[in-house]
Amino acid sequence: MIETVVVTGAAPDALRRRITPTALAILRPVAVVAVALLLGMAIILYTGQNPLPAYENLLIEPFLSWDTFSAVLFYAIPLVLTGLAATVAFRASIFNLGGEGQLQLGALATAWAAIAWSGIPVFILLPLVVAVGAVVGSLWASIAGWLRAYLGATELVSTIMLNFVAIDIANFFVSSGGPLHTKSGGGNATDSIPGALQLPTIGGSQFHWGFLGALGCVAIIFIVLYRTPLGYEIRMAGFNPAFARFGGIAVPRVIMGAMGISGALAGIAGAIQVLGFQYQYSTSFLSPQWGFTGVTVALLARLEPIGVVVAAFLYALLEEGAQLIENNTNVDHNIITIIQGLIILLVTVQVTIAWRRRRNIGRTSDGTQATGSVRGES
Amino acid sequence: MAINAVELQGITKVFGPLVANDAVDMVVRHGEIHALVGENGAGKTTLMNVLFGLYRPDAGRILLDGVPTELSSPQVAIKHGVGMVHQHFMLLPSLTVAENIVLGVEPAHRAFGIGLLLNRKRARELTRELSTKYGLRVEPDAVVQDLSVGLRQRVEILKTLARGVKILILDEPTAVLTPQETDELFIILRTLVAGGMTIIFISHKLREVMDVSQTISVMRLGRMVGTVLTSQTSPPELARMMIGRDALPTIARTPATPGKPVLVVSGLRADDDRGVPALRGLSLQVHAGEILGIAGVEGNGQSELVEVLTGLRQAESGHLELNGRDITRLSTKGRREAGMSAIPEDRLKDGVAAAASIRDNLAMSQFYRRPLTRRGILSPRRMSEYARRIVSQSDIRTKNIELPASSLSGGNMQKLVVARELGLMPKLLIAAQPTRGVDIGAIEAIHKRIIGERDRGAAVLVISAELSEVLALSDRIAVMYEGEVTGVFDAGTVTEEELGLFMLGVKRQAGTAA
Repeated sequence: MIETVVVTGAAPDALRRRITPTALAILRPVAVVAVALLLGMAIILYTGQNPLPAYENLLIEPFLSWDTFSAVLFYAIPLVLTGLAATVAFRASIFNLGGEGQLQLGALATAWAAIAWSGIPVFILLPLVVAVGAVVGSLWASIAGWLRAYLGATELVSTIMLNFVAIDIANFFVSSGGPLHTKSGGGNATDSIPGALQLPTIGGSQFHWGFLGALGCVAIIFIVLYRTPLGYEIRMAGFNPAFARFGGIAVPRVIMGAMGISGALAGIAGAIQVLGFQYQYSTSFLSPQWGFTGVTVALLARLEPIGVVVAAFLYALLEEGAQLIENNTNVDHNIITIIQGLIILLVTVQVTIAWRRRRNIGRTSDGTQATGSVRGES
Repeated sequence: MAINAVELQGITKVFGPLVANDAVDMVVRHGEIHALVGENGAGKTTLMNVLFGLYRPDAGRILLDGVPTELSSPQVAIKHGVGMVHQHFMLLPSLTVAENIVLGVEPAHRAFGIGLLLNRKRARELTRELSTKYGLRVEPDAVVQDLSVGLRQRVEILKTLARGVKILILDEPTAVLTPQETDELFIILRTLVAGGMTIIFISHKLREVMDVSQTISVMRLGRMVGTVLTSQTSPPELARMMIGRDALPTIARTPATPGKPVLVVSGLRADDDRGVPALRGLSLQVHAGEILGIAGVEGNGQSELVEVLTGLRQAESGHLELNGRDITRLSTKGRREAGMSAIPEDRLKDGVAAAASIRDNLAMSQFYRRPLTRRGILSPRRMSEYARRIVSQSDIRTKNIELPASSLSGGNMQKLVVARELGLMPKLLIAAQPTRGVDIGAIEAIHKRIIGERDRGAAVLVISAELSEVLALSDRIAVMYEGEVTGVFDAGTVTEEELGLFMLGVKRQAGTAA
């Protein structure tokens, strides 16, 4: 058992020396998606169809026109943010599966603020309404964070359950008779936000300037994780909470912090969907489970902020590819669902192996006597 | 020649680099209570897990009633009449006593030739029969989670009896019991033996062993030291067998020049994780420029003492003072800022984040202060500079500070922990098992650094299960037994044998506080 630790541990070390961490953060998600695509190809072949047209629509077609490429970028915007949200929580060893609820309430709050404070000059109002979305998402996530940090309630359950509560709350506000229901008498939605707040689109597509906000968040989270004491605390508490505690870190406070940041990012995702895409809060179409997909994106990115950009792009590519396959080929577009499933499977396997390895390292501590001589003095 | 209930011949069990059992022989006669004693880590539980079929031995064989027997799993062991009650009970807390006892051997209502439903009536009857037969009173319908620890242990014993076990292994059964419950347990054990059972009783408490057993086997560091008849031995002889060990190379050192008291602990009480009192009014003082060593068999509250001192465990009552300042209510961070550093007893659990880089591991406890953090920004460059300096100063052998801490050998990982804690220039250093599981070279390096801290004027508290380590480092020695300091000695004024008697609770000084 201990020998396997050495062997499996040695390979990434050797890799790490040759490849910079940034390159690794980019390469890893690409490799996983490539493997999933190969497996998907085998499945298409197995069903007796020709995989090449499907893969052409998936991998080449999206890059051939601005129309299709901009759609990929458009899908990637919320995924970057929800992927970052899940990343920050995972880094503290917290599963924030409540990104969806945090996103929905953040979006609702942003729409409300944009309408209620429409008199304020736009250069103040824009950051303000995004901040409102972030704060609301953050507070919502803090409920599960608090339950976990101070009462030990597992966030796996509480975050998922709070999604349902969040979505029902949002529904209450915007459904007919609700306090924010649109005066124009449409569906379950708010009024439109003022035109001045609507983020301009780029090149006549749906892709909008909100992407700058998403990339800004990537930079901020990178700095927070690697260049601030809080980020250090989050990472160490995630690696080994007992170690963090022994070193004087207040782990419950760190959990609250990580959950707060995570929720804020999901809230910003909601805010940007409102400002750049829907121009109102509506219960339909705002987010086809972007909050949940963020978890996959984060794992695909191996919890590296820069990797999140790559993983979100790849995932968005699959989304657009599914559309193109549906439109242009006879291959069932559900093949994309299968490939997405394979990606989830592959990252889960990776994560499981990593965890088991970590647990094995821990377990040698039972054989206290001689872990010293195991790996030899190198 | 009489046939023995159990004969273990040349049992060897290896876990990676650790030889837990080294060609161990042991003979248990029919109808005796056979005590298996030794310090923690001596290999007692491993040996019994081999006998219970949980571990396959790497060499050696097991004879039951003189017949070589392959015990490939606990199920097989039970079939051969060997049962075991572990230290941690394996009961389902939400089920009743009767349900727990019949679990796995459930009597069933039969229909269509197969058992379909649990026959609760029969389960209750079975429980009552067993409990009257062996005098183990329990209420069959009581839910296990409502029972006291002592009663749960009875249920565990009944569970093995329900499976027709003839040889019963008890792993430190008294560790969780009150004195009254212990007395009751011993009565039960004697009854069981009178009824034809054979009992193997793991313990490190000599008084109990002398009280209840007929035969005693002593293990030390994975080897069987010897087997003696209880009637023909004495606690001092057992203590020698359990504790005697090779001395470490002594390190040149000057006599201590103790200053004012730095750490003052008074009347400390705290519970362990199970809620059992672990510290029972412990008091001690450590002065500037001295090393106070705490000797004691593991499990006598040392771990809890370190946790309470470092702020990881709540004290029930008592006071802690650091340099005249009351730190009883301070957080771990607050205590560290007040000048406390600590080397944890389990470096992989508390001492490092194995998957984080060596650089990140070295930054703990000062990452938020200058020079590593300035104006809220933590500088990776300064962290690296600091880490490189420490790594070369402390001779931590690694190719790259970016590598995970898990890439270090045990000795180098421990050097990392020591270097980090000493890098804070502590006024008080708490060193728990500072050289556990490291090679002799690293032991010497770490001991030198600890003595260096003393010479710098720090107060040092060393807690070690290795008596030789306590003797090698200490200016004064305090013995901990059952959560109290039972004796304090100046180094050089006491023999190992004498300390052994205090460590095993055979002797104690009146009204002691270190």
